[in-house]
Amino acid sequence: MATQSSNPEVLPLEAAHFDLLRVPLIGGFLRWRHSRTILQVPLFLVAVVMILHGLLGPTLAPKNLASVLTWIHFRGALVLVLLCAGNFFCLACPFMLVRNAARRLFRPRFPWPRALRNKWISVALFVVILFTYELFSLWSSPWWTASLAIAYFVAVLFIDGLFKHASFCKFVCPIGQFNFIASTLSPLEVQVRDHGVCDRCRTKDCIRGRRQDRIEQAAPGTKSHATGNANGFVILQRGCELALFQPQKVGNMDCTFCLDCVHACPHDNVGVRSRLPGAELMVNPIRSGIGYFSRRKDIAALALVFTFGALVNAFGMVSPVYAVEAWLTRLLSLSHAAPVLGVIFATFLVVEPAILLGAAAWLTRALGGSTLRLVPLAVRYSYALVPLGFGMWLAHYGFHFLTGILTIVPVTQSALANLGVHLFGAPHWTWTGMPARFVQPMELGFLLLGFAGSLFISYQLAEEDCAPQPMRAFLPWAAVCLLIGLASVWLMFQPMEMRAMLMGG
Amino acid sequence: MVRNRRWSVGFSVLVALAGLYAIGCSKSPGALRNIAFTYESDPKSPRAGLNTFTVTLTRASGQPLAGAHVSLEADMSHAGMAPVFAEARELAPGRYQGTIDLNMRGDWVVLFHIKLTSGETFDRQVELRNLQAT
Ligand code: SF4
Ligand code: SF4
Repeated sequence: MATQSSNPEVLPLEAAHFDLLRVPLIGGFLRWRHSRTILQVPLFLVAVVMILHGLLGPTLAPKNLASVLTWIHFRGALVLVLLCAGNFFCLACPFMLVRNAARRLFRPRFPWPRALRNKWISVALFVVILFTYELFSLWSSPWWTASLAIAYFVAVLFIDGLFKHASFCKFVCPIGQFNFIASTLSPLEVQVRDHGVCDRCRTKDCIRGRRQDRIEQAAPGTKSHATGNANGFVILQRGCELALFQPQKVGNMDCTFCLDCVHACPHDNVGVRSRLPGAELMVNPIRSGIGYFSRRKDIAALALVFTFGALVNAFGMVSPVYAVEAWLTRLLSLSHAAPVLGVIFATFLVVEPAILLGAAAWLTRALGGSTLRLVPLAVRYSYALVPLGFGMWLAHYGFHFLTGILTIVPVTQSALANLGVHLFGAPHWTWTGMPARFVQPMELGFLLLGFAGSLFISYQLAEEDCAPQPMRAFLPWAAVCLLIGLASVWLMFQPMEMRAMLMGG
Repeated sequence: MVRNRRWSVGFSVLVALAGLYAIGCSKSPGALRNIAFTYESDPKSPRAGLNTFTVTLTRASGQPLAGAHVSLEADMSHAGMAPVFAEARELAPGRYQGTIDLNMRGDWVVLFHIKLTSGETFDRQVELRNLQAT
């Protein structure tokens, strides 16, 4: 594809896309090879402060930086940045800063085991985090919150200390998977500017990394940040650690926005460019580093946990959960929270999706005449539900973020006061954030946006699968979307309970 | 040499973490021994809205602790919510009463901040679960 066109009516490809890397100042900063470190350092320092305050500070969640920053600010900012831009949290991830520093001491030696090169571990960890969040009331415990952050640092160092490339990000990290699947709906993507340039490119540095022979490297003036390699060359700039080869990369799945490919490409041919959010969920090409979405049951499971997990997570905060817990406790004669919670999770994350998707897939075959078998059909349409899930995460986390955004001020004042630094007088405990009545219409907007997105993607998939009668294939999925959408709206308008413990235990 | 440096970095990090946990776990909530603290609430089962707490402070010997300053603070269990505050007044020697507005349903922690005439201070904490509107 050419970058210039002789026809002035037709926009050259370059001009058709907004490219963040072309924006003055921001673009220049992001193209600088140390930009990632510069973004990671402040987040790392915040993480250290959070951990210290979580372990040594007040035990009440609303007064501790660990719980306030994690459960109010980080989660809210994360989903809003994913909605408005892309996976910039992974770009600034403080865990990777520590990992990169540690890799100067410990070189990983092993490739990630072939049998584990999928998302099953990370999907399981995603569920475990949702489960422990409810079971141990992570939101109400600064100590647990700080311990979770420490566990994360330890896990990153352990996994990436042993295994090469970005094994932790790609195959283990539950936050990363959340970001990957949510960023399929982001408006920005790291992508090739001109595929013609890639066709002519001989080095493919975006995936191999920019290399130099050892003999050349020994010459005077060689840069010292290069990393050694047993194959007789040094890597001056690593290529994509997530195994995404730019010319064949489709969408944001698995992309950490680390910009290594941007720095490695010798032709300045990689940008951070605008695209239609969610478009990658409507198509099924082979994707570099991923394969076909339609064959990836593990990624479909991630999409389902992302979607139905959003509902479970919100359900844990509203009033009817008490009644359900009490009913289950009586029914099953249980005395501990874990099995009750296990039943709730199994119902929401396994039984409900199996029934809904199974029925819709069966109807798609019966009514629409799709020739696909039930499981491949369910896998294919699982991706259509991602916008609904994202709408729910946005509504939930956005609510806490917007209604509690200013609480960071008094909590910081109080933390400093404990150190003898009195900033702007006594802590302003009345500072919270936007009134809930203003935030609720926004929540509804997020849910409706998600609902519309899921309907649109379902219809696109139905059109592709059952071209003669797409509407008949679409209707069962529209019904699934409607049910999830109604459940989300019902959940959002329940009186919120700021709970501490399941079953009062 | 490099190997030694690796292990000393790893070991130092482990020691620092163990130290943090040791300090964190040894924190005491600042309560004084030999002082009995009891409280009653009105309504008897606290609910969302106005609640009156009556606190009785006595020495272990049973002698009432008069002249103390008692203030109330209530926080929700979830971050992002503003705490509420109230002052208690002394009804009789060693008996203090304050009314506080628990302005949302859900789980609350009520803190009684107590300052004795001797200048000693301590807190007592009461957890109120699943508060409902009447
Ligand atoms: S992105 Fe750059 S390095 Fe990669 S194939 Fe294209 S031109 Fe070559
Ligand atoms: S190097 Fe890979 S993970 Fe990093 S921005 Fe490029 S494609 Fe994404």
